[in-house]
Amino acid sequence: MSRLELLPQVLDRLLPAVDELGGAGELGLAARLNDDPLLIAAPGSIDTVLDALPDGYSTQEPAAQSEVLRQIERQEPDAFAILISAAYNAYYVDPRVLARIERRTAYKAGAPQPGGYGIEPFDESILAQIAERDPLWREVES
Amino acid sequence: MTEPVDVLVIGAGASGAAAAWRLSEAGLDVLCLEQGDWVDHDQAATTQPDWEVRRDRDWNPYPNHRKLAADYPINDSDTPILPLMYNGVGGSTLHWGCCFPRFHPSDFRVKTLDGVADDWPLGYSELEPYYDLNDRMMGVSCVIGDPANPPRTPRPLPPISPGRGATRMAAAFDRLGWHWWPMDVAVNSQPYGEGRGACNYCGPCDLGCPQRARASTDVTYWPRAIANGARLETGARVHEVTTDERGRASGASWIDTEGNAWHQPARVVILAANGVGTARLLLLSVSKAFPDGLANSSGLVGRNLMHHVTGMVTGVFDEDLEAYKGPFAASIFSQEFYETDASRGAVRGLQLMQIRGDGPLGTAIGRYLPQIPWGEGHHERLLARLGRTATLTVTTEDLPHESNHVSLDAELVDSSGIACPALHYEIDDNTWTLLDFGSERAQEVFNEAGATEVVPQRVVPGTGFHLLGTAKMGSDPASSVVDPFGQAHDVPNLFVVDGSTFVTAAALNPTSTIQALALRTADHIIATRRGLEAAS
Ligand SMILES: Cc1cc2nc3c(=O)[nH]c(=O)nc-3n(C[C@H](O)[C@H](O)[C@H](O)COP(=O)(O)OP(=O)(O)OC[C@H]3O[C@@H](n4cnc5c(N)ncnc54)[C@H](O)[C@@H]3O)c2cc1C
Repeated sequence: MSRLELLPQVLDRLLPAVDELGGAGELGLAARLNDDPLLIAAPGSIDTVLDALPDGYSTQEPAAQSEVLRQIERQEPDAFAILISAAYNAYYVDPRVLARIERRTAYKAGAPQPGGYGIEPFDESILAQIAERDPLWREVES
Repeated sequence: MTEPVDVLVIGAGASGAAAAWRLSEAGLDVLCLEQGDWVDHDQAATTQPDWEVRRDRDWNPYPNHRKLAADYPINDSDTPILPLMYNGVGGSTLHWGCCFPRFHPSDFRVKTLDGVADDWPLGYSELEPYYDLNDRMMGVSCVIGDPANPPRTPRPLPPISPGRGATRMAAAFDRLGWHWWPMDVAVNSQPYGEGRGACNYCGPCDLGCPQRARASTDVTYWPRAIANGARLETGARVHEVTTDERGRASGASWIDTEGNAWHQPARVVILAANGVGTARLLLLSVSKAFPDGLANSSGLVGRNLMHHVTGMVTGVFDEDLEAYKGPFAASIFSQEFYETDASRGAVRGLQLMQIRGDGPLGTAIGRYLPQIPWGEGHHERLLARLGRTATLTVTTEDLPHESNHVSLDAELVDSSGIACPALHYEIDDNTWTLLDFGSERAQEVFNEAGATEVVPQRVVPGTGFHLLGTAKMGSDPASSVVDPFGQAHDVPNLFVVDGSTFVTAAALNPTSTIQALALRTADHIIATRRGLEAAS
């Protein structure tokens, strides 16, 4: 099986399908990894991980595939860590992924600006106890 | 030949901007040379959907990683702390967290009070009017009445909302009977200053603010300085402060982005290139009269490098705190443990400061907590953390040691071929004791607040954001580089206005003090300019 086909399968185990969303591989994020400066700086990282996959990996059950990946993570920690960071970088800027998070939380998908957030205004009553305290700074002669 | 200017400022960051404005208000002819460029806030990373990855790329605060054209590399192989800064109009305020505390009166008297380091040659009361002036220029939001600090004038702006996480933590501080207060923040809670809007709580101030609510000096001081007639030359990398045969500063030599060499003559030269950049420039400015670098007869240029070595404790809560809302670094702080207490086994103290939460990528990658593991369970874990964390930083007072220093690297050069700085720095035992003590206290607050998971990090390497002490201020030329007004002992028309002049570091964010000192130095130059001996 070619690398082009294997990498999406690996990504699907790293960031699996959730709710209505496919895994990172199914979402087509493998192609985006190539642009990540982390992988440009360490170009062999993906190959190191893919080269370590056993024959027949793609026909294994997901749990077995994950176990294989954990072994590779132990054997090739540097290359694997770069792959993980690049995978997270691609996944967590994807609008479909962020839209799912938005549906589950108050987090807004998309750029923080210009929308920003509404927030509870400052409530001065929270100062009631501390404002009563005697000064605790140390007086010194000027 | 280019005409000499009254004052040449090198560096357009926090201090250079403040000094340039004050001097231009008095009608002086001011030119600033800045190696970086203007940043377009309308195109800030915060306006882009990929904003979170940009924090690890072109908006990373670590220049050795960011590697933009204006950056210079720094050899940091001999320090556990990574130096952070930005090189552009606004300097490191283009990245900053905007926390704006002031030194305590005791911070100026550490020798007298605690028998360590040196006293400053000035006190809090001399600086207070400049703190106030600077607060008005930058725009500071808070509320007065903090019992841990001397009384202050009403703040220019009402407080920023501390958010749910800080409200919960504040109640825990109250139950423990420990001090806390909203942080003074250089962020507009309401529109303030020309063209500057109010904070809309988007979160990542470090990635740029199109509202211009965050007080970077390119939106506070510079527009007003330029309106006064000050000029700013960008893409101008200075490599030497030149001197005449009498040892007076005569100007600066610089290289533009095309590689062309220039010289700008000046009557007075001000260095505002930060605690690393200024030491670098002084050490680069070698001549027959100054064989060890300019203004270095004491041998102290580059010495006494101080940071604020920072630990972190993060708590996870079972409640949605919406922690990604609001200025990331600014909410509340505690100075319960700020002053010396001998029972801790260390002198001086620390500040606990609350940081808000991350977005999804930062949460997954693990900036404040360990990385969320890949595989089954990843998505549930992410949702159990996103918006549900709070972090307390433990900011300790870093005592000066001559062995901690900036030197010129023998090999490393920047894109203009200029020798680069190397940092040599070790964390001392006093700091380790304070870090451990502070971390235990922070964990106590999180437990009191009901955090379900509390994760300490003893020291965070990527926290070299405060660069201090490398051109120490003092009255004695044998034991300091500049006098109490930032005037070089060896070169009367050369001044330093950045954090290099700090005698000690205090245990808090330094920029309000850096800028107050810069304004005071500017006033001194204005008052004494007729007596200042310019180069012939
Ligand atoms: C991520 C981050 C968060 C921070 N948060 C806070 C905070 O919450 N509160 C706080 O008080 N402080 C904070 N700081 C620190 C604060 O930004 C600095 O203390 C402050 O900006 C220092 O001001 P300065 O004028 O000394 O130097 P800078 O602001 O760093 O400016 C120096 C300028 O000099 C220029 N320069 C240097 N060398 C040359 C040369 N050879 N030729 C021409 N130009 C040159 C640089 O390009 C730069 O623009 C933070 C910093 C960072 C990086």
